[in-house]
Amino acid sequence: MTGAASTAVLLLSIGLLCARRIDTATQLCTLQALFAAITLGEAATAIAVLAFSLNGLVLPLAIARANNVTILSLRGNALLSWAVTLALLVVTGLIFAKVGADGLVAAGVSVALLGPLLIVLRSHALAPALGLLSSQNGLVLVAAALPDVSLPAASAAAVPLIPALVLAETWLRRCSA
Amino acid sequence: MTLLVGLAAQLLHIALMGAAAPMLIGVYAWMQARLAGRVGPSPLQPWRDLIRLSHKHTVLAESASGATTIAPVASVAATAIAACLVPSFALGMILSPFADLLLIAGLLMAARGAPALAAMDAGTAQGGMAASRAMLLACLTEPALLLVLFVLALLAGSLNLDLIAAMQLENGADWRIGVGIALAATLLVALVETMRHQALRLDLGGRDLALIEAADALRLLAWFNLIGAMFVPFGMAPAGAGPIAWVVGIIAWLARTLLLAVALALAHIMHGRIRLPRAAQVLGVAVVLGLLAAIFLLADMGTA
Repeated sequence: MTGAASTAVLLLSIGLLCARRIDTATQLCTLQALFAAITLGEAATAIAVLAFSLNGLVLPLAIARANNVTILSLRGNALLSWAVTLALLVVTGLIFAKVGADGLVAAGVSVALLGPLLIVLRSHALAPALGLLSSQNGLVLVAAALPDVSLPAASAAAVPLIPALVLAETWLRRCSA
Repeated sequence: MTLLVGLAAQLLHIALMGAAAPMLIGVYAWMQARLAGRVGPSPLQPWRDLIRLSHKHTVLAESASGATTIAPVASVAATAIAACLVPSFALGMILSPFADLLLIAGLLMAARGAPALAAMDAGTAQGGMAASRAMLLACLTEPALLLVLFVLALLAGSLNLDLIAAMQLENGADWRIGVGIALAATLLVALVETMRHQALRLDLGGRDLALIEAADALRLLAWFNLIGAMFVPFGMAPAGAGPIAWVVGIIAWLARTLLLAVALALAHIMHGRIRLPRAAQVLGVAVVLGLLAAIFLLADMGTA
């Protein structure tokens, strides 16, 4: 079950890069948070529920409320961006294969790295919040993969503090404009 | 005794494939119509069409050679052999030692190539264009499929479909990430592979058309069975199991096939007809996913 859920998180993070509308991207983030929480659920159920509530419900709802432009327009060359995405995934996979780490960790790190790529590829005011939220789901995946992860560390991975701050900053900037 | 059980399972499998393939096309067309808000044809309509066409005489173009006559038979024969080799409800069938994934992929590709040959044979412009499109897609399908097969071979240590299905049954829902990504790549390949090229059959009629229609129906079912056996063989009766396990296997197979038919109908309803550039893009993504599946599996196996 863990493998299937983490695969879904990785595929959804690739799908997030293809999303052309902000509401579709938000829905993908919600699904991603759900699957990440399922992965974490086996080790720490309470933290998984907290992670899904914050990453899958509260923040996506806040992003949906703050949104005023629906189209996630592409910035730069699409082919180049896909090449970067592929290179990023391949290099991450190869590094982890060489180190001999768990595949779940490789998937989590890939998701965490693909998040900031969304910020680079899309010129939308909410793209940073979405990208960081996706990265947060990657961190949840990494926390689920690590054996004997401490409670504070798992909680820190589950609470999307930086995406929330970025979203608040975007919202304040929009209010002051 | 095991030989007899394997033979009985094989015969039942062949009977199921023969009966269910046209029905599947009918159910799929009915589902597609219902999802689009239309009443839709009866699920038995493909059977009626096959019977009607088989009673008609074949009419060939003056410029057609023997290739047009042979191609429909070759297509249906290759697809039927592939469909016989892919397990549906039970493992350990009598033909299971020959169920090599490379052989099955080759047979499915040969079945795809034969109608293209027939379409080019008469020398009409439309047939030639349709054949070139079909072959272009086949060329793009091949690397994606081979990467997926490589992933599964890496995991199971064999390309035998029975061994792969048995390994997946043993693992249950505990999937490796690479396998999940390979499943996504296979679904994309199947989405393009199960497309029907109407222009390929413009020069055919009567029994030849019935054979091509039957080959299409069998190919769709063979693809569904292939996805089921490679990734989700849940409920499949293990080798040497008795009739009770077979009944469970048939129920699981029916559920799996219907689920895949619904998913395919939904995909086609949501995206409409997949045109050539779009299909090429989809296959490109499938190749990339196949590559990622191999890399993630290697990463995973580093700890194994």
